[in-house]
Amino acid sequence: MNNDVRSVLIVDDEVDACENLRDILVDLGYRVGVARNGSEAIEQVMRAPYDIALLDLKMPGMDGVAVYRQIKRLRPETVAIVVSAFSGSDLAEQAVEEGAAQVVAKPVDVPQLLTAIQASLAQPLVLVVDDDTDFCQNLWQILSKRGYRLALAHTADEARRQLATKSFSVVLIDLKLPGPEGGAEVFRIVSKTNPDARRILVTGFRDESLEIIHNLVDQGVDAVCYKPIDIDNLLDMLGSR
Amino acid sequence: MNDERIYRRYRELQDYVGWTEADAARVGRAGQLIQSHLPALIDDFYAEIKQHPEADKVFADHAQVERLKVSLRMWLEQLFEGPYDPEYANRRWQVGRRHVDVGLDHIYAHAALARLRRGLARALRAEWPEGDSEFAETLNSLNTLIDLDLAKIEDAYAAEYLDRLQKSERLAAIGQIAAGVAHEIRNPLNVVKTSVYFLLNAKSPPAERVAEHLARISRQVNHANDVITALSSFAKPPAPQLSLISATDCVKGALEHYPAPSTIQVSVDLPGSLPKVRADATQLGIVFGNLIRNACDAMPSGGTLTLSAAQVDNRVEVRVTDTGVGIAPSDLSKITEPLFSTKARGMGLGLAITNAILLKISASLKVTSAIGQGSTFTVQMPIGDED
Repeated sequence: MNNDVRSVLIVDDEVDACENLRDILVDLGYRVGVARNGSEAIEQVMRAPYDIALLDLKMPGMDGVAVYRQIKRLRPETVAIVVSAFSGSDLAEQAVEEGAAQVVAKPVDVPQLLTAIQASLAQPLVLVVDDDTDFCQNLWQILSKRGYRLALAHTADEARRQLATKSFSVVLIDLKLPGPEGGAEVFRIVSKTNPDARRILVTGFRDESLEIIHNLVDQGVDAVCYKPIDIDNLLDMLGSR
Repeated sequence: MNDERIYRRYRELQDYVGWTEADAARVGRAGQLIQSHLPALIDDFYAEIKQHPEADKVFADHAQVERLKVSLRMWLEQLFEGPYDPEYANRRWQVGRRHVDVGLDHIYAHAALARLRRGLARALRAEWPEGDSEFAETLNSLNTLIDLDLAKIEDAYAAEYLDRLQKSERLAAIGQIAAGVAHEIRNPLNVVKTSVYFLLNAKSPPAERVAEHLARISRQVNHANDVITALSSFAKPPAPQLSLISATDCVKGALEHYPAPSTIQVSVDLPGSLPKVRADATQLGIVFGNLIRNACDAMPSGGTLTLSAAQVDNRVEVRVTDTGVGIAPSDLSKITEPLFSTKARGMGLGLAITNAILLKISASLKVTSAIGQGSTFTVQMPIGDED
């Protein structure tokens, strides 16, 4: 698990602006990547995940909102902080609608930016393992607005890769995940790689799966959440340790 | 428009249609004949307007309609009695202004007056003494007078409308400039501010890193200053200092000043033997600098920049060609408009300044472009005469 070094990707077409933030963040111990445009940013994100993306909005080619949409698709756990000379603009509003955590006005007040970065990093990291992509997207939209960072995995293999690289506070596991063992396999991986993570089973099959559920509860599942999910109920489960 | 001017224009209109004292006398007599019809005509006038939601919405309430009926009564009395003096002209003018105030579409003023005109003619026909042969002339005089009134109202409406439009356009332009300046100034400020933060807070930064940040601050302050200079020189262009200069030297100088990035191949065909042109060397340098920068900006992923010059008839022609993204046909007519830009950076003044500079030396700018293939900007300058 390589979770100690927090990472930030800076995306801005202004070279000097990138270099300055890089110097400041490297000095504070962050791992920093720099991209001068949208396609560079996407390449970087495909190569390695970043905790935070600092996005300029007005760039030649892809604008900041378009870049964020791509990043979100590839790495939904990346928190976007928009840095813009037009903080009240339509683009800034769009970015927030897309799920950007915060908009910081240029010229950047560095202490304010650092606070925003730290606040984003302090959010509990939640992994949702479910092959239902719509369900994942819905959870992402709801929970990211409630102060959680969400990573998504649609298969046991994807979940394994995520669990190998990050420490999660909570893992939501769909019991009926495709594969011979379904969610039970993911449950075991979590126990091995993220022993401190809270494990919540999500299932739509109450009666048929009762035995498996009881079995997993015996093995230490922290909570069981039944589909259709009651969001308030889920938030309670996420909040209580 | 002042009162004197309003009246002068009214007199001009009277002369134009051949309005005489005899007309005034005929209208005065008509007024006496149809006196008893006026209340009914006035009621009909507003009843008709109320049929049209677009027109009716300008009335606040019933009381306002009652007040307007009194005004219309006065208007009709003045119409028939005169005198057709400065005060008369001014009152008509105020009607037009008032229509702009309340937001009345002027098509309703025309239609309502046409209805009133027909009502008046009907009333006059009903009251006309049998055997009197002057009916046609009297009706003609009345119509002419109403036409004059309408022209005056229309004149005021147009002037007031234009005035307000210009004011709101000015405000919109200021907003546009403010947004452009905000972006162009905040970016350098951002670099300065973050560099200062680094210099103040970094834990023992190496000397060369410190020097780097200081250089960055200096560079960005210059950039912010360039933005202001471009803006003020656009608002008030300095007078050109004309002399005979070599356009090709000017292009070469601009290329040195704005070198193309390494992803762009530069092909140059600039013969030194071309005749000289009469221009301001600094300003012509700005022209070619802008064209070169635009060409490079149009090729974000590389391409070829071709700079060539030749004599064509009695002109020197410089072409700046890129193999870039091209300009959409719908944008072509707008590219020299100030504040028009398709770029993420910049205020959209480059080509506007370029055009303004070229106009002053009787030179012209022509553009051909194809989306995805590139653009060619051609500057044509007259050959300068020897002194």
